Amino acid sequence: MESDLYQQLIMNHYREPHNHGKLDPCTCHAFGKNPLCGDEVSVYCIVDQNILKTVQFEGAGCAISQAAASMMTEMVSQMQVDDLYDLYERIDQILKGELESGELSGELEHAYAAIAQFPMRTKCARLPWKTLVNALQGKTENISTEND
Amino acid sequence: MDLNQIRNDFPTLQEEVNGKRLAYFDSGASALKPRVVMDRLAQFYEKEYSNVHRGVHYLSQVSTLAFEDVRGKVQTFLNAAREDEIIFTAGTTESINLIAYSYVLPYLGKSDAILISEMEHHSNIVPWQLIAKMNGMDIKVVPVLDNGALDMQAFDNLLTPDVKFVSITHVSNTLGTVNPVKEIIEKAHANGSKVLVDGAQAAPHMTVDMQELGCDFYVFSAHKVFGPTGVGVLYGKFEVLDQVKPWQGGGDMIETVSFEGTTFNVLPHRLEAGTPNIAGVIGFGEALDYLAKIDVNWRYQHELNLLDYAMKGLKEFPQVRVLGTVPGKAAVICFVIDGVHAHDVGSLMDMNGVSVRVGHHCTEPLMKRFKVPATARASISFYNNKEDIDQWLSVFPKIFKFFG
Ligand SMILES: Cc1ncc(COP(=O)(O)O)c(C=O)c1O
Repeated sequence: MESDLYQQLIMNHYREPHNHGKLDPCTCHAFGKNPLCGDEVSVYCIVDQNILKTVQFEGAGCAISQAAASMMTEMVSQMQVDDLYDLYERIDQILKGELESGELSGELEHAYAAIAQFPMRTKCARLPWKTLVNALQGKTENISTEND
Repeated sequence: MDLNQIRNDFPTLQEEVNGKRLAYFDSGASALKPRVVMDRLAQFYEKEYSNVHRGVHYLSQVSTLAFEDVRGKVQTFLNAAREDEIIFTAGTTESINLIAYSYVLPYLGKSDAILISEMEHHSNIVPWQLIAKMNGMDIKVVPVLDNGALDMQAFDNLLTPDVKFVSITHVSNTLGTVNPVKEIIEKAHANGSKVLVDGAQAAPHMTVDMQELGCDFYVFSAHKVFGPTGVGVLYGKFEVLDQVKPWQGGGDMIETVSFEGTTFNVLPHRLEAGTPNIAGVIGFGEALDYLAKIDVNWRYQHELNLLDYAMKGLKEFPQVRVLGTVPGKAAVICFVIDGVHAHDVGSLMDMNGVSVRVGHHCTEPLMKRFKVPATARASISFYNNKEDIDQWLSVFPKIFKFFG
């Protein structure tokens, strides 16, 4: 069971996050926080001609929220912003457990699927995604996934 | 007392969680229910059910008698002087709000203050903030010392003549600190202040004696005392309770109603408008009967023995820091692990069948005071055993390995 939720990949991203640190200057950024558990994520982006050229994050909180942010930056870097919105929906479906394991591609999606087995914790994994999407859409007020 | 027999009384303890034996350490949030409570609810709904207070037919009589009988059980449980000092509410939270809106708000004004403490549950902070916005009263806060004790020197200094009301927890749900409520009540009364004691975390564990304490109000929740959810108690000393203004208007709380003016019923009904949680109250009575059969001193001592056993076991793990270390505390262990977020601790515990609570435990100011964003909390009840503690302790090495 332990290896399901905190499978090695998630732990590696937690211990050594990728694309970590503030990006200054950037074209957009947002800050998300789940006040009840205290998880925090800031996402910084450089968007050029509708392509997410660079994305970085910083934050503090549980292993899932921070690893999910790191894994997210791996998945979305160099993506078309419109494709990214589709991926956001897809991750949401994965976290809701709506996709079969055969429908998943890549180890990162499997890692998100592992989190889906713990409904109380999926909000932690959704926080960086929602923060990223809001940053891209210029919505920056009170981003939280606790009441979604 | 035979602990195994007691454990058999609680069906949930026989359940497995995540394929593991359940070690339930979240009784502080809500206690498990003995089978007799569930059976009583079923029997009541099947054979005795009707609305209370309003009928002459057979079932109405049976349910009214059963319902009112519980008031007497609560009176005995609290050693209250009179049965009409017991008001049924929806829980601790509603009891505090009732006193805030119908006693403190109408009687206190701009030049008055109330005194609470830094270790209060949000339900004993926020209602006061809400009414302070309306009547302009001041809210003073007694700080907590590093070991989790209330700073009684600060209490003495803060208890000035403008303080008309003191609202304080009996036992801290986060730290386990047992506050010197008798001393607080005596000092407050000498100052001319009325006192509400939040007994949510005391009533499940220890003797609470209204005539011995002498407080003006005492509140607690049935669901933490092994009863159903949605029921609470407001105890009020009769002369003071009688000064409480009507809370909600509706049926049962009136004497006569006309458009020229309405007159109100006597206590306790004046403060219980509408159809109450009839079955919940009756189940609560069964829980109190069950508790009365297990010596309270045995229960509390058993919990403290487990606390002691757990704390000795924790000594193996210097990475674990416990908040609230004051001698004589109740069996609550609030802990943080260096470098591991409380939610990850909670999930790993859960995977091993151990239910602990994580977060701020509705005591955010206390979290801020101890400079932690969140903690994990193991709260011990009399149905826990050494095996539960061993199971809990056995998860720590796994956590260190995982996050090490
Ligand atoms: C000390 C304390 N006060 C008040 C409450 C609120 O109780 P309820 O949610 O049952 O109204 C709790 C419950 O967590 C508590 O521990």
